[in-house]
Amino acid sequence: MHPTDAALVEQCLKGQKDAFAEIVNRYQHRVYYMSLTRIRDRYEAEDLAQETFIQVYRKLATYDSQRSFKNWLFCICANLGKNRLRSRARRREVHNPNPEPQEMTSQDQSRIDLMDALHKIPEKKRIPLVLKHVEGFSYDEIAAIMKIGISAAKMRVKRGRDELVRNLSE
Amino acid sequence: MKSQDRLLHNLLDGTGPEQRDSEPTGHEAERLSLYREGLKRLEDHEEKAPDDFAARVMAALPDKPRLTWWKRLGSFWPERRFWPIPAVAGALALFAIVAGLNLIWPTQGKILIPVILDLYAPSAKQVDLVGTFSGWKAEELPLKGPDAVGYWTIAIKLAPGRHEYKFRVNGTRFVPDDDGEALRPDGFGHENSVLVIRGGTRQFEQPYMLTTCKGMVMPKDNQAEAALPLPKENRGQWQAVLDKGIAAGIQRRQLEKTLVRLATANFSPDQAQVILEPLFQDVQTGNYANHVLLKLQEGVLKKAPFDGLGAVARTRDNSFRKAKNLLARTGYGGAIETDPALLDSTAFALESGQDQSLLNEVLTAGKGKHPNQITAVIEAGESLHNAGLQGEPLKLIMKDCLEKELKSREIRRVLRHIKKKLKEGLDHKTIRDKLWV
Repeated sequence: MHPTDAALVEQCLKGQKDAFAEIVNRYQHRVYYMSLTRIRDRYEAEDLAQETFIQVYRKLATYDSQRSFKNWLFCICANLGKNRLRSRARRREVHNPNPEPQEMTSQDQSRIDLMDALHKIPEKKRIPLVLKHVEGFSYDEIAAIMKIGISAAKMRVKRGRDELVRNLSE
Repeated sequence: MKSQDRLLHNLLDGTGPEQRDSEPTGHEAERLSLYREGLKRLEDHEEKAPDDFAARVMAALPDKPRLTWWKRLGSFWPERRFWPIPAVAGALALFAIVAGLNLIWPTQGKILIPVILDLYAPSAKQVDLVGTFSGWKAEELPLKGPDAVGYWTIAIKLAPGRHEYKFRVNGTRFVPDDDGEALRPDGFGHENSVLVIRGGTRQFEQPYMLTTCKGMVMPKDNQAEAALPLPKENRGQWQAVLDKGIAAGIQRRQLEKTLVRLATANFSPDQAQVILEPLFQDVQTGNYANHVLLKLQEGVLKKAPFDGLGAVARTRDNSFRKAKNLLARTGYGGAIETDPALLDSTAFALESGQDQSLLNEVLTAGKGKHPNQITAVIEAGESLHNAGLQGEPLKLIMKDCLEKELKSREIRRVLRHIKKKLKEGLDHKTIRDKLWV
C-alpha cells in the first residue's frame, strides 16, 4: 500500500529526505506537463517544474494536512509560472518558443500540433482548461488555484474549449 | 443558440440532464463530437519529464525544509515521557529570573506614588516643601513657580503612609496646603496638612497623577541618609545622650540626626536629654520613636522654644503609649508589631484630641475586620474630628463605615460628603441620619 501524500510530508518534516523522492516521482510528469502549458520552451518548463519542487520542499512546514496536497502543489506551480512570465515581461527578453525541429516523427508532429493549438489560447483560459481536462480538478479547485470565482473558472474553461477546438481544426 | 451552447458544455462537464435523452442531433451532434475529439486529444496527450528529472530535483534540494518559528520552537520539545525535563527546566529558569529581579529591585517598601502639590502664592519669591517625608529639612524640595496664574507646584513621589507637610514661603513663613481639607494641629499653635496614601491611592482629594512623569522629585530616603557627625563641643555629653537612646531601642541614625539638629539650634546636651526623656523611660519606645523624633525635627525647623519641644515630645509619646494600651485592651496587642499603621492612626487620633472611649468602641466594633479597614476608619474619624464633627454622630458614622465594610475609596467619598455638608452648616445629627439614605 502506498503512503498518502500527507504521510510522506510528515516523514519529510521528520528529516526523511527519501520520502520527498517518492513525492517527486509521483508528480513529476504532471508538474512538468503543467509547466509546459505555462511556458512553451521545454528547458524553461523543466526549470519551472524543478523550481516548483524545490519551493514545495522549502515550504513543506506550512502545508496544511487538511487540504489536498495536489491542490497545494499545483497552486505553487501556477504562482511560480505567473511570477516567471511577469519577470520575463519585465526583462523584455526575446523568447524563442519553438526550437527548430529535426527529423520529426508523426507522433511528434501531432504533439506539436496540440501544443501549438494550446499555446494559441491566452494563458488565463489555457491554465483552467488544462487543470480541468488534464488534471481533472473540479471548478471549485480551479477557482482556488487560480484565485478567481467559480463562475469565472467555468467561463474560462468554456472559452478555452471553444478556442482549442477552433485552433485544432484550423 | 445560447441554450444549445450551454447544453454542449454541460454535456462535456458531465453535469447536464440524462445524456441519452438529450443527446443532440444533426449539426449539434457533429459539433459535440468535434469537441469530444479535441478534448480527448488533450486528455490523452502525455508529456513526460526527462528521465533524470527526479534525480536532478533531489540533488538540488536544500538540506532541510524551512521550519516555521513555532515548529522550530516545538522541535526542542522532546517526545512522550521526556516532556517534564524542559517543563521543569523552564519553570526553574523563570523562578530564577523572578527571584533575581526581586533581589536587584525589591518591590517591598519601594512603591512610590506620584503626587502633585501646589500653593497659590503669586507674590512669593521662594517656596519650598517641608514635611515628614524629608525629615522637615528646609530647602530640600523647592517648588517651581509662580506660573501665569500665581501657582507654585511640585511633583513628588511618596511612599504609601501618612505624611504631614507644610509649605515654607520666602524661607520664613509656614503655610499649610490651600485646600485645607486635611489639617491637624501641629502642637506649636498652627496646623499641618496631612496626606495619607494607602495601597496606591490617596486618601484626600487633591490633584495627582498615576503615571510616572519627567521632573518628579523624590525626597531623600530619610532612614538611609548618612548621619552627620555629632557636634565637637560637649561631644562626650552628646554621646552619652545618644548611647542612652540606643539602649532604649531607638534607631541610631534618626536619633543622631535629631541630636545634631538640636545642637545646631543651640540646645545644650542637657536640654536635649530633658526633651528626649520620655523616650528613654523604657525599651518599648523603639517602634514609635521615629514619630517623636520627626516631631522634634519639625519643632527645630519651626524654631520652637525648649518648653514647646519638650511638650510636643511628651504629648506624642503619651498618645503612643495610650494607643498601645488601648490596642492591647481591645485585643489588638498582636497588631502593634505586625501592623504599625493601626498603632500610628490610633495614636494620631488620640493626639488630635479624639475621645479615648470613642476609639475604644470603634476598635471593639471592628473585631474580626481587617486591620487596614480599621486604620482607614480611624484616619477618616480623625479627619472628621479635625473638621469639627464630634460626639455621638462621629462615633456612629465610624461604626457605620466598619459595619458596612466600606473600602478605602468609599470611606473617602463618605468623608468628602460629610465635610461638604459640614461646610453647608448642617446639624451633625442630620448629616448622619441622611448619610445612608
